[in-house]
Amino acid sequence: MKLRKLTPRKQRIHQIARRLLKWAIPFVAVPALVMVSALVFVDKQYLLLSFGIALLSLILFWCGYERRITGSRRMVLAAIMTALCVVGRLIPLCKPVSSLVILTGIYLGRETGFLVGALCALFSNFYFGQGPWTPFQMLAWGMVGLLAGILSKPLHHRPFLLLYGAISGVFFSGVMDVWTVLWYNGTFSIPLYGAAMITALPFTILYAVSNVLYLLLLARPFGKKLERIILHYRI
Amino acid sequence: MDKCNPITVTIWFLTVITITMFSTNPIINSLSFLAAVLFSLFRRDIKTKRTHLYFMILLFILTLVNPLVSRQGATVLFFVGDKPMTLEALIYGFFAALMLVGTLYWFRSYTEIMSSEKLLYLFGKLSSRLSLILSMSLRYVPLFCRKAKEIDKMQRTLGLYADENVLRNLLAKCRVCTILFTWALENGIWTADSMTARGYGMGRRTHFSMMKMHISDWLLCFFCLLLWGITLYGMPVCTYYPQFTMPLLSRWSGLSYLSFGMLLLLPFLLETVQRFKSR
Repeated sequence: MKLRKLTPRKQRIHQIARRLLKWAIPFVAVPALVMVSALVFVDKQYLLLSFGIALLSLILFWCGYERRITGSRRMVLAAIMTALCVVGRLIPLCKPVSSLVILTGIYLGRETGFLVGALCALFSNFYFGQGPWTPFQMLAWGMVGLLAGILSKPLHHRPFLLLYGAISGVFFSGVMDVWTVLWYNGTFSIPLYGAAMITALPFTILYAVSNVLYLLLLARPFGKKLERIILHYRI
Repeated sequence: MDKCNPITVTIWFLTVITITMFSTNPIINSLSFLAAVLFSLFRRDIKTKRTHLYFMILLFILTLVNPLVSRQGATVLFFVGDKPMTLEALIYGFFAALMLVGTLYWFRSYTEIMSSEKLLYLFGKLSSRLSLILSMSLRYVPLFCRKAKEIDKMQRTLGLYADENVLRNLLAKCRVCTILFTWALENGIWTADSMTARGYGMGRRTHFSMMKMHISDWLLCFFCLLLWGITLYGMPVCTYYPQFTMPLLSRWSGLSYLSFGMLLLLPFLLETVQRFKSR
């Protein structure tokens, strides 16, 4: 592939923009979009919004790396991880989605983690039913992947990884409870949130336990394979 | 509905769902709920009776949650502990639950109508890169399922399963997973390399699609939006607290109910026409 030569000054500008977007998209733009979807509750254009989040995570993904030649390899890997997550969501009861997203974040980088988390929520909902909950799921899983990527060094140790898995299960459930309250009540209220948290407690425990279980099972073999692929094909 | 352009279908669902979610009007909510249930029965979108049962239980629970949490309302029915249960909270809970379960039904039907091919068309209009990732992921899902079965059979013929032993069964399942994972990664790298070799990313991508926006589709879209506007403009607002009041039927509110009814009738008409045509 032919690469455009950039002047050093332009390269510098690109670098700064990339760095800015890397932090601004997941921590400012996407939560802002989700909040807009919640506050402008009058006409929830949830599908457009989820699509907007997907686009933002794609931009984030393309900001994440500089060598453009490995672009298509990276993209296919992201698609594969997304597909695996979607397949994993078809398993009843104990779902390995979060643990797969975490592994993606650790080994393929935070941007890929975010992308895979967000897209997995969007795509798997084509099977499970799209709705106003989609943006929230996208945000929650995306953040799980992103934080795993940021914390990738300590997460190579197993106890930290399992702890992170448990916490991310609780986090996911918490974000979805925010959605439940907003959906039911129209505005946010703390007592209702507490009630939602309590009613969702079995699910929270299920998420946390299944995350830990799958990480215990998958982390070592899947991590090794991902590492090998990255080393072998220089991604 | 299956033969319509996906854009038209999406616009119709968006109009109905936004009205349903926006309204606090019991008549609109009940109409929408009834139509949603009838539509899914008419199209046989929901295959199992258990799903219907599940939705009805959800309706029941959601109705009861509101009076348990909310203390507003003038008419006290009875006390639970020292908390008053009010009639208004119960009514509000019922119509809110009707709204929520109705939207769940609509979403079900929407997911059934929109096949992955149609979704690709819809997304391809918006972003070609996203639609590429979407199409790849959607292709990989059934492929992985098939491959997993293949690997599983292979492992069985190799005699690596011991059916009476639960632990060894589980380990064998894990092995199938890891084999699938390795295969998927390697296969993906091949795909990527062949994509680059064929010039992926060199220029704009062109694509072919079977679906077109006909004049009738544009007309339907326009009609939907018109009815949507009338319904939202004329919809009377009901208050639930402290006392449940509904405004009397006026010219605008009548028109609003009528246009919402027409909007809901539209897909039934399309379905019957299609059935007669296909005979």
